[in-house]
Amino acid sequence: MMERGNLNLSVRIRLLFTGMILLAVLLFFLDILFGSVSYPAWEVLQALFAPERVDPTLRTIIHEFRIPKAITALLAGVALSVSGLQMQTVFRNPLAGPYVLGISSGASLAVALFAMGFPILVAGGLAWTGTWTVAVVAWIGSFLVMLLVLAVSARVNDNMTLLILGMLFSSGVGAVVNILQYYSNESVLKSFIVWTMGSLGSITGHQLYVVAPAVLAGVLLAFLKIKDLNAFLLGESYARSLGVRIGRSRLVIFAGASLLAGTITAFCGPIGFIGIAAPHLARVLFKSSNHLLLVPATLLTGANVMLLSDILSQLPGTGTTLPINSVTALLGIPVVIWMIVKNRKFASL
Amino acid sequence: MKYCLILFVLFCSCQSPRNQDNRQDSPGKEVYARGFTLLRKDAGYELTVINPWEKARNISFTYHLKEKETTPSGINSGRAAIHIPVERVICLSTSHLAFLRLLGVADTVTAVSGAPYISDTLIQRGFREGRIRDVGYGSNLNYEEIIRQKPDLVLVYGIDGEISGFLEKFRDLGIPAIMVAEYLESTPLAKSEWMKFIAPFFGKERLADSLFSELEKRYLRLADKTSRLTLKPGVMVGLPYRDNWWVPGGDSYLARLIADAGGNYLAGKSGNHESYVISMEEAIHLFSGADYWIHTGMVTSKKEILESDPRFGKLPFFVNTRIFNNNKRSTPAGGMDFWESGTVCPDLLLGDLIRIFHPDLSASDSLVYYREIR
Repeated sequence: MMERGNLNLSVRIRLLFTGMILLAVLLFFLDILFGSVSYPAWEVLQALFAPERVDPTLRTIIHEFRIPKAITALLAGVALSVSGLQMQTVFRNPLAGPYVLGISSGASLAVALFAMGFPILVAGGLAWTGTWTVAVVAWIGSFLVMLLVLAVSARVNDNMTLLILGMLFSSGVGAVVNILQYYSNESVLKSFIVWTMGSLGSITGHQLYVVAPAVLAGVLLAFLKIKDLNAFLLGESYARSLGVRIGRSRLVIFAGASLLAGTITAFCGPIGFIGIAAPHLARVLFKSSNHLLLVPATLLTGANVMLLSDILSQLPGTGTTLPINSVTALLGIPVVIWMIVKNRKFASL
Repeated sequence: MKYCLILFVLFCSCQSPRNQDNRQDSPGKEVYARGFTLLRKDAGYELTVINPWEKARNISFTYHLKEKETTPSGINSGRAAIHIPVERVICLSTSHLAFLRLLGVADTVTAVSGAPYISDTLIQRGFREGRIRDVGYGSNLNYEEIIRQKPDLVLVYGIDGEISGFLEKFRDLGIPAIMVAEYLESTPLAKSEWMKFIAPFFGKERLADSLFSELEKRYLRLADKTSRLTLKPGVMVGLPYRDNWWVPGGDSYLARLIADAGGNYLAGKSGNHESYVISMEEAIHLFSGADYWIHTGMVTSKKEILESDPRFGKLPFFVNTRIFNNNKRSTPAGGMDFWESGTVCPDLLLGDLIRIFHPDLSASDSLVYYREIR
């Protein structure tokens, strides 16, 4: 079922959009309000709006840690879910996600080579490095994978072949990462494992100046390709008959999706599940497969789920945290299962 | 079993009579260590290692040590007897090397684990000259090399229950492997007291007793200097990885060392023997009143800490503390002698920390294991 032509926004849709925007604003503030250490709400509000009046430690926690983390959660939710939606549409596969083209594998391999390969080859010294270094390395890794996929996709016309190539590539990379892990000592191994669990809190304010424009650019590309995405849903031959230049369109969509997923993975590590679940949630909530609706709906859903996951991962007041990856999975999986059971199938693409 | 017998014959053929001093004396009772017991039996010893890995409960291993001349039996499946004094030893932990070095038997080492991480110069030279081999580490042990070395003792440590699988493998191969769990002890003296556990394998128990009682005296004399202090500086430990900060528990070895040096360990949740993780926020909160920051990983300058996370520059503990790292003596690969020879020199570790926290109480001018990070 596809709505064509101008959007006729029903009251329900308008309410949903308004509700989700309000929810995102609320969750964003709650994310700043609740950290692993409890502070009275009014103190946090003071730190936000009159920072000179509060204790410098609290000020640092709010301005240097909680605000960048909340912004990161918002951006990561948006980026991963939009890139997941694009992959599901292009491949017409409900299980596709931002990492289907091997982006997280490319980043993992680069980080693994950097964190574990170098100490083996150069006898250590690099075991503890800055987040910028790791991010740049991860970005180079996912960028190289993206180039490889683009090069292959220029030659291979069949989407299924690409999907399988992506899977094979991920398995191959997994094997190399395993070898590196096998030969690594415990502390290096641990740093790598922690990286694979994802983290929203290690992004600093300066890094956001890189992440935010990249995410904005990726989302913009997604909006520009809404018509093509809708055409892809009907199959490639139909899309072609509508005048979509398949090869070029796919290239742009891949580049945008890779930019989104690659940037988030570089700075936060691979964060699973949001990219697969958020588009499905959006489809169920908005009961539409028109990307003009779906792109903003998915983006909002992703942001909300990620903000909620981050609040939960802080285990407010306990002084410790959970890895964000586990929270997104534990939170998202029951929701999707419930949706599948309720609809007796995956939301149709 | 035939294979074991062959191994045994091979052991015997390369043995030479050894100095058998003080074998008649009863070994000193362990006072601090909780991880082992030592019993003198006729012509041998019975050593028991208790709960030799974190989270181990009601697990113990008993080793029977027999003097070579008295019992001509090999290793058998029922009761493993290890023939002493041993002459070919493989060490899987750098701290074990420190015990051997202290007891003057480092020349028995034929293979080690992770050679680039070892500080001991004798071992390093042996490795460079090819006399000492590297058998890998962790779950990646080179069993063929271990068998080729024909060890009559392998000193093993384990961080979790997985190690029992390795022990079984050693037993199948007929190689006497014993657990050395000094790293689990929660006080510096208890850790070094494991020299009494190692000593009987080499016939050095009297030496170990006298070395330990000297060490104990020196350590307690130093600790006594700080015992009446009322003003104790706040001490924070470690470096975070991303937004998690692993800190030693309040009943850990390091917490005790800091307390004995007259410091106030700020993350010392009591009753906690093992390290635990706290969030970055919790760390900022706990450490806001710190005066000293120690054990900052591999870093050698404040700049490196800032590069890892520029936000540190705005945190009170970065601005207000003096930072001392325990990596003054470390190998190019990053192996720290603090965890190697420091195991048997707790008095030097304590001396360093007293010198850092209370310079007026310290006679010494220089630090042995620590360096200031500027």
